[in-house]
Amino acid sequence: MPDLINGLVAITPTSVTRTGTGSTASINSDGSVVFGSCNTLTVNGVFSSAYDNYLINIRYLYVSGLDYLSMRLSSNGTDSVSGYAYQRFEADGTNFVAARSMSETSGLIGYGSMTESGVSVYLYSPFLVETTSYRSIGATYYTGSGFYEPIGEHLVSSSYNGFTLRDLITPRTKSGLLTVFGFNQ
Amino acid sequence: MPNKNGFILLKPTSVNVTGSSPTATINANGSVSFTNASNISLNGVFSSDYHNYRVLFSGKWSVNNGSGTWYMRLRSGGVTDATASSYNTQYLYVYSSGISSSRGASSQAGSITFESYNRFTNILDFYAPFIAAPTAYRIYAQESSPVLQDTVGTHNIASSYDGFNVFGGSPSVDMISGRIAVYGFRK
Repeated sequence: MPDLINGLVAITPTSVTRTGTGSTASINSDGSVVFGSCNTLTVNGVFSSAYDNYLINIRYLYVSGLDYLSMRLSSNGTDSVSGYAYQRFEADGTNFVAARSMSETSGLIGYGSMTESGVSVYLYSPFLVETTSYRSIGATYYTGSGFYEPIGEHLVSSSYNGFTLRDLITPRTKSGLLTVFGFNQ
Repeated sequence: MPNKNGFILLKPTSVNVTGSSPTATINANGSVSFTNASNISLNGVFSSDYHNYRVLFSGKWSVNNGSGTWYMRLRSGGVTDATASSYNTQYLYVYSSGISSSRGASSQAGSITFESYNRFTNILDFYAPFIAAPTAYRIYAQESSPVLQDTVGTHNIASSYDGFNVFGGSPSVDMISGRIAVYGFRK
């Protein structure tokens, strides 16, 4: 077998910032980010020319309430606040939900409640001066378990080196842990 | 804790490309960069070292922007398998408020990308293509608008395949520039 090249590389952010009363966020020695009671969490310096595509693994729960979890791309800590489009695809009990939203201020990536949830966000070409796309695959429990697996695009051809986690509707406090991986190429 | 990478970037032994003055280059780490391609084959990338594989197929239409559909076929020893009805595929289509599904058998699998006016990346998972048994596949495809069009399927010929082919089906003037990376899941 030839020399093995690691296909997924864990990336250590250069910094993290957050909002929310009593919020905390720190970078662990392995590059993962642990956060507590954050309204928003911005992860800086994770996207670069080294990789085109990324996987962001997130486990999270809301300290109170529930909301859709969303993401904004950021450049040097400044969020891009326009140009997001997404297609919802949900299965909740016996119901399917499909809906499309255009010209949004953030991209939907999942759903959250006061029970632990998880989502894997495949983020494609955020650092390239191209449009960015993503796919979310996750698991959430509210009144029961459900699929909340949106796909989306950010239709602005700029380069971004980070992202911000936030809520789609109302600022909520969230806690959890995330890791960013780059797909070697 | 034992340390063993589980997801390995693989390098094809060769690549074939056709298109409009196309190029295709195997990069040092193993991914394949290509330009103006309508048909790309990666050879010698599946082996007995791994059972299951993941492919990231990224690109952007360089000619005939976003008006065509691309498909996938398995390949062995430089020969693409296009046996009629050998790719049995189930489709899932989510478009605005609509959800639909269908099933069919064809000489090709997919779409693996379609009608994308913007840069796209789609995922192709192959389960045991090198083993002389039917190969299962799953394609996570999404395009502009945005639209989700996933497929799962089985190639029903019990042969071993060491590569695959992706190509624009209709219209034939589709050209994409981008990158393909193949990863093996350690056994």
